[in-house]
Amino acid sequence: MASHVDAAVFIYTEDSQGLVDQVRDNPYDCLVTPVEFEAFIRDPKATLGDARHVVVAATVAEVKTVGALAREHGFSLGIIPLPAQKEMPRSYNIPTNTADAIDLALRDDAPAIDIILCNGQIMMYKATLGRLPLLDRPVDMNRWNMFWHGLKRFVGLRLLTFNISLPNRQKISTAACGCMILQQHKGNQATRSFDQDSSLADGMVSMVVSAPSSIVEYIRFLIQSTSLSRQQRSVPSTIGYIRCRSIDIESDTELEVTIDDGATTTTPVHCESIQGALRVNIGDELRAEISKAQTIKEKISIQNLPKGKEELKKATKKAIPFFAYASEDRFRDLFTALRNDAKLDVTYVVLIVLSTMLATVGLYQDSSAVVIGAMLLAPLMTPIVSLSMGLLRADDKLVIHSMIKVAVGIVLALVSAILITQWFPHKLITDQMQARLNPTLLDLAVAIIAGIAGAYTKSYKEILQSLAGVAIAVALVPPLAVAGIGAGRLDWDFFSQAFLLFSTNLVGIILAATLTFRVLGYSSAVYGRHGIRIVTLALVLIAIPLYLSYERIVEKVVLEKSWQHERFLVNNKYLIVRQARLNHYKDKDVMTMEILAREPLTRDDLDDFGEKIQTNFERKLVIRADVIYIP
Amino acid sequence: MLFTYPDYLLARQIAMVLLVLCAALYLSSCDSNPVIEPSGKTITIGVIGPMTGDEYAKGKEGVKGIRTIQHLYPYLNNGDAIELVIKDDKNDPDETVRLIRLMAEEKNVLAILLLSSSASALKAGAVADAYSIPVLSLVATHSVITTGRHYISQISFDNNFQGRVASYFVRDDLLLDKVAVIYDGHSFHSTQLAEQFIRTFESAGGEITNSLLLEQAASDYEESLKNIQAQGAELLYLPLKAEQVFNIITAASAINWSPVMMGGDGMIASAIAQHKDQSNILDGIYATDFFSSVMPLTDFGNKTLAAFSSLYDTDGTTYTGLGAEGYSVLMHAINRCISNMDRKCINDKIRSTDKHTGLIGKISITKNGRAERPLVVNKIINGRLQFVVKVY
Repeated sequence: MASHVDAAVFIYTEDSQGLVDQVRDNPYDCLVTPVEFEAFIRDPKATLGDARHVVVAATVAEVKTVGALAREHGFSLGIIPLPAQKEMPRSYNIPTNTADAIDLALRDDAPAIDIILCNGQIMMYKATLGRLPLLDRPVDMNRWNMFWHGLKRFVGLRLLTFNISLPNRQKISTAACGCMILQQHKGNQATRSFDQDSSLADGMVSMVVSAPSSIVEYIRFLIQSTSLSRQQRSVPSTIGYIRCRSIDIESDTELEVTIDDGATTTTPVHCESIQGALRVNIGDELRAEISKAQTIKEKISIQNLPKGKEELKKATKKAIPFFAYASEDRFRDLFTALRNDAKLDVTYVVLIVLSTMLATVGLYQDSSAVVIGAMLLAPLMTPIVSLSMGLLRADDKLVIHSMIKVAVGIVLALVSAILITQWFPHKLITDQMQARLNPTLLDLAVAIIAGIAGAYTKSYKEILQSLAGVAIAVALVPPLAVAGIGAGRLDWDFFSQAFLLFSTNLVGIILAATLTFRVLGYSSAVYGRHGIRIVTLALVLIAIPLYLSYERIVEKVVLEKSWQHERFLVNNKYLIVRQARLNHYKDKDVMTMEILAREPLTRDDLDDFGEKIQTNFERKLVIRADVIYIP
Repeated sequence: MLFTYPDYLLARQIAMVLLVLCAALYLSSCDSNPVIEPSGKTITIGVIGPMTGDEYAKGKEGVKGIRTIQHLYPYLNNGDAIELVIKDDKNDPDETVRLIRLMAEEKNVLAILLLSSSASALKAGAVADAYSIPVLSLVATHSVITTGRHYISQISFDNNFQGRVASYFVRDDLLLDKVAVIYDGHSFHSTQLAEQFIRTFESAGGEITNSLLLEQAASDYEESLKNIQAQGAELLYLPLKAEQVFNIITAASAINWSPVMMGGDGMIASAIAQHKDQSNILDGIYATDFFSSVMPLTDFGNKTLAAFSSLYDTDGTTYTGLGAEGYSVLMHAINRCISNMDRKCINDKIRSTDKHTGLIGKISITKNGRAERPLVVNKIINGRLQFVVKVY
């Protein structure tokens, strides 16, 4: 059970005059002397008398004035929030119910808390400069309102240059849309973005820097914020966080700094924490935090903020881009890995040969399991992903090395498949091989999805990259093996169909991976577009034969389907075509059909049947009939 | 840098050139008909059919088809125009004979297109031979129309073919075993179809539960149908006219019986042309026919349909299609006699028509004057012929 002060002065204004009786007639045996605000500040010492505790119910500015006096005269402070006040009671964990607020305000165990001075002005809960979409919103705001507010505030957002100086002489130059300095971390969206080990008595100033590098990043942050639990630990990608004893902020253009939604100052701004400067009756939750508080270290988490001259120049040049750019420094490890991946080595050569040989044998066996096994072996993902990144960043060396590696892989695969084919010269074409002829736009869709997967897994180390490697191999290894089989059989139609499929998939994967890297923010700040244009042009050119191939497929499907409605009366024998399949062999169209017949068909019947087909169909067909007799 | 701005410009130029090439290729593949200069001369072709009376649909719809092709191809290859002499025989065989004589003697026509029924066509053959005037029967399907005749030919399939196809379709496609047949004993067409159907269906192992003359059934349709139903018939084969079929369907409905039904060629055409308000009664019935409302057309078919739509506000029928095909076959024959345009040459060329492109497929006419052409089995849905199978 908390104890209360014996005597206190209650400072009121016109807005809080109605509380005078309630405070004076409190049930805590506390002798309260009401004093009008103006009268108090005129002569605080005289007004205080013997009382060492003051309760105030006034505007934020007036409370700050009393706070400054409390610091000067050493009295403790209790605050009763006015009905319209939201931020202050939330920040100090003060109940909004008047009776509870009076109870808290009259307690005699006010802990010492820090105050933050910004350019000499007391900051009670926050100071903001620039624009901070969403971060300054209260944490209990309805999620949809929050999302909508975040979207609206994003319009016209630009990055401004900030130079931040810290006590250890560290200087940080960055570009951000705004900064928020915080007294403590309760009550707003900013607090959900980083850890909660700060308190009102840690002697630190916390600052959140908002720097969305792209519209995509910002939308992702919005979605995260509206779905975050309160225990979120990781700093979102558009946020930087600094915690230290003092912070100096300068900007290229003079910016207005708003303190506690009221008072203002301008940059350059100096904010420092005065530890234990005031004793204020705060809520139990905050008290508990203060009592638990250990030595708090400084913290600087700015890896998400733009830095580097070039990046800053690009970032502040115009409005925030749709996709982010990335500097070499920022993703050094990834680029190093990709350069290594682009180098030709023995492992790659061995694996590509083995996987193609396995795929070829699997195709001859008509075994999808063996073909899948070959896909697992194939090392094609790495040079293709490197090539994609090289094209995106116009890194000539990376592109050339990757292309050489891919080209060597293609040649080796074809040669391997040709050699295997020589061992099976009389083997028939299987369904597995057939499936890799007649490429269509659907095959391109498979390749594009695989390319996205490849780029995405490369960007996130925690995802097993072999998964995407298999996806890419699905699109590349079998058609390459089939092309090799065609070349080995000297069937150039066969070869060209399969190689078209392979080429389509290769271009599709490269383009998809390039665009995925672009979306993920890996493109260079300076270059970027030309590589994508070249690949896009290649894709358009590939799309032409693909479209024609698709047309052929559609024509084939329509023809095969239409045959199911054909009947023949041959020498008074009724023939029902149940199923028809059109294949292309060498330069002939072969129609294999299943026929139902009631009576045995003689040679003459079959000849007449063939004759009827030739008479009534434009296409010259070679007919193969499988007759099923109806008993 | 590997890719410079000039590379991009070059690539864009290549893309533009390719696009232009593709467009040029596409445009050059567009079909174009050679223009024929009119010679100023005219030849005369006769058209005989029922323009009035019960069967007026055959005549009137057939003429629409003829006129459509005339609109598409106004001149022969030598620039001669074709004048049509159209006469109404009211589907009366004697009148048909009289008109053929008239046209052969007085009108000096080179050939005659006949839109009348089998009865008229059967009599027309003798007159055609007598005057050595080629007669092309467009609508009649009786199988002996051309037997022993030299100057009458058919472009329609015959009833033997139609009856066989109908029975096999019922047996092997619909998988039905028991059928009842109701036919019109006064109609050559109906009788022949019924006989062929019964013969083929039984030889295929099916059972004909009832075989009734229409006049027997008409005495009390409901009672007749009850008897048929009691015999276990799964399908009613009705090679009858549309209005006759309406009565049967109405009676079946009255006794709450909905068996599968199948009719012959021309039934729906007559229903659409002459009984449009009642044609929906036929919904769900199968029918053998020459064409279908919804099926792929040949290039000629597409052109004909487009031309017909531009000339007439109505839907085409089977008779329209036969009129169009008949005129097309005749023109093709005449064009092959361009240097020796006489009746004998035209008749020979008609009877050597080989794989002539019709509306939905190829038409050939043997030297016996018989046509070889596909038949379609339709199901009537919302008054339209929904294609089921095509039989060659």
